[in-house]
Amino acid sequence: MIQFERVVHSYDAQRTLDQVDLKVSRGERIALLGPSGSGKSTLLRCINRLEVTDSGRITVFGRDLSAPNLKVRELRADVGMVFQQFNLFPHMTVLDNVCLAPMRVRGASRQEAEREARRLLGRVGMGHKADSYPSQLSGGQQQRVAIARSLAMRPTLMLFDEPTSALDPEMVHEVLSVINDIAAEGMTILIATHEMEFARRVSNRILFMDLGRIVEDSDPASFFREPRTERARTFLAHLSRSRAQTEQLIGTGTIGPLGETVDDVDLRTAG
Amino acid sequence: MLALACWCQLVLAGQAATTPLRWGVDLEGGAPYAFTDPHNPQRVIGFEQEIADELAKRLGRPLERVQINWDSLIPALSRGTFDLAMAGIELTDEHRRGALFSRPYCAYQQQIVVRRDNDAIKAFSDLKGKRVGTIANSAAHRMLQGLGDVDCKIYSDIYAAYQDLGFDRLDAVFMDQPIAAYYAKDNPRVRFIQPPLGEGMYAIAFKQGNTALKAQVDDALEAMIRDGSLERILRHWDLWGPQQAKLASYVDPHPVAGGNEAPWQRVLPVLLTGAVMTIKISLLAMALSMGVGLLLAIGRIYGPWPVRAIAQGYVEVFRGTPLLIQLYLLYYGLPNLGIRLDAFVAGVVGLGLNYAANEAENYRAGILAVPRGQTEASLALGLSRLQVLKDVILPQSLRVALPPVTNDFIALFKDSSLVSVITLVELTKAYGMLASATFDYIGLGLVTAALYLAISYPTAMLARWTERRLAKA
Repeated sequence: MIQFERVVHSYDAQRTLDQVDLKVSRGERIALLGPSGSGKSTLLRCINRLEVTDSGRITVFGRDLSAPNLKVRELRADVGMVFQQFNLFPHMTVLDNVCLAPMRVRGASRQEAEREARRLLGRVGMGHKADSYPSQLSGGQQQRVAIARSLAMRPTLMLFDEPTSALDPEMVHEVLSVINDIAAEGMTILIATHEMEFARRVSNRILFMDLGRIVEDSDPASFFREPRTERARTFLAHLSRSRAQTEQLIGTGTIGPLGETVDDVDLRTAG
Repeated sequence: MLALACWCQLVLAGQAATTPLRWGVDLEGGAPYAFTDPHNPQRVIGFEQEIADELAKRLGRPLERVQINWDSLIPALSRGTFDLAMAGIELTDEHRRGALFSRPYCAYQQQIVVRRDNDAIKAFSDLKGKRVGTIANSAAHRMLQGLGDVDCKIYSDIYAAYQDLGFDRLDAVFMDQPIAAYYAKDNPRVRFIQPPLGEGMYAIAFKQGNTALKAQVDDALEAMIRDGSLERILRHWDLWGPQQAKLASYVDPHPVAGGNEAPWQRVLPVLLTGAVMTIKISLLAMALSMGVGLLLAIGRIYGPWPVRAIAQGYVEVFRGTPLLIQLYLLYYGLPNLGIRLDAFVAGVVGLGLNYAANEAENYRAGILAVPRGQTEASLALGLSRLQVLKDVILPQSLRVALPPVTNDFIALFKDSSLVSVITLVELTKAYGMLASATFDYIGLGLVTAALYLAISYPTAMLARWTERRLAKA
């Protein structure tokens, strides 16, 4: 379904993807792990051509992304993407956010689009907020709407780019459980995340990235039990140490449970 | 009598040498009154300059010329900026309410000038339904208004009127004969309709109550008429004719009673007509500037480099040059290239293109203020670039752009007064015309300002209301 062959991408003379090879088949649920700046986001953004590569070849649904006659809009319509910052349209209601693309891109009638939008909003638990504006919602609620907005295009593949990194900790769960539901229905998923527990539960394949390369490609059980590379071992060790520290701090009352998140800590120590 | 004149001179000589005779005049009023010598820009020539020299000599005081805009002559006279004003001011009852006047120094008539090939206009009554250029509030203007159904175009630049006659923007020019004689006599493309008609007289204005100076000047003028020195000056400028006989027989009429308040039932319709013109021009110019500005902003942000360069060049040129010059070039310059815009069209286009540069910058700031993630999310959903712009970016940029756009709209309302240089009579010009006819600068000024406020305040309210609505979303 997706194929990367020796893909190179650089940003300001720095290599963000370094000779990446990858094959993804239908129905796979892939978690991209690795420190910040390791290339997880770039890899995802190459798949719907938000980023253009320097060299190498990417094929998605049999389409060659470097072909000059590529119909990039058709490609994007089939690939859903959820961003760290939600990126809802602030000047539209929740319902209009979800309806816009199906009407403009798929040519759906307003009636059709609204019916589908209300169904999807119900599914992510946001049916009651259809007429609100994004600024009236919490971060977790906004991200659930963003997921519904993506699903409204009936994509065959969903990309999640650190969907919970911008959320307060108490909202992480509601978003992850929605993603979990989508995964359970057999959707092909690629998700970049720092939520290790979630990655272990939801994925059936782990890609560990470092310095623009995929350094480990394995199943979740073996990755978390005994990572093959030194780099992955230090990464996981840092993570569990900072988690332990956090738990200790919470325990001694130094910081409250709503203070610094595990994600924040590991971003700094692991980077 | 001669003895009396000599006595006067002697008495005056005493106070003289120290206090100069300050003469207020507008050299931009043009030839042949008092104007810069085209062959020697250091010098001022004209029949009024010669009369002023002669008067100063007879009063035994050195002459000091004070340059001032014609519309400000009477207010400046009242506050004592100079002692007398001599600048082609007509002796009318309305003027005599606002200032004290000497006996006249020149009688004149009005002259119709047409293109040489125009046989349709043979007499004054033929001007009905025609486009006629004239000067605001002149006797000629009043005669045209009296005729009715004349498409009067008001010129402050006399040369431009005769130029527009050549460009076929006018069917005729109807102005004071001295002006016509100077500007059009040697022009082979135009024809004078004979004989000149109507009559008027120019006189010197003093501050109300300054009867002492008036008496001195009247005596000096009378002496100049008697000894032929006035005739010599007027002949020099080709202004002598049988009509000047009236100068000698002139008797001061009774003073005109009452202050200088403008008669409201006559003044208000003129101001309101001007206000309607201001609103029409401003709304159309604003619509044009918003459309062009949007295209420029989009071109500058998203266009390929030649488009970006052109858009940026446009903004720099139109922002960096005065609107006045742009209007002049558009109206008076373009006909040389064969493009003749109607004054109204030129006014709207001039204002619109000028403000488009500002609007482009407002929109650009608004567009750039929309976070990049908005574009990425829209593209990821499969929207086209154009859809992203129309559905996502522009609606959001409006919130940022609206306050400066409103400011510009209000500024444009006020700047629209500049279109009077291309013969359009909008609110400020209407005020200027009324004020120079009645000299009621304060009363009319307050009413005019109130009219501007009545236009701009609701605009500001509307903008605030829209902003609040946008902020809610």
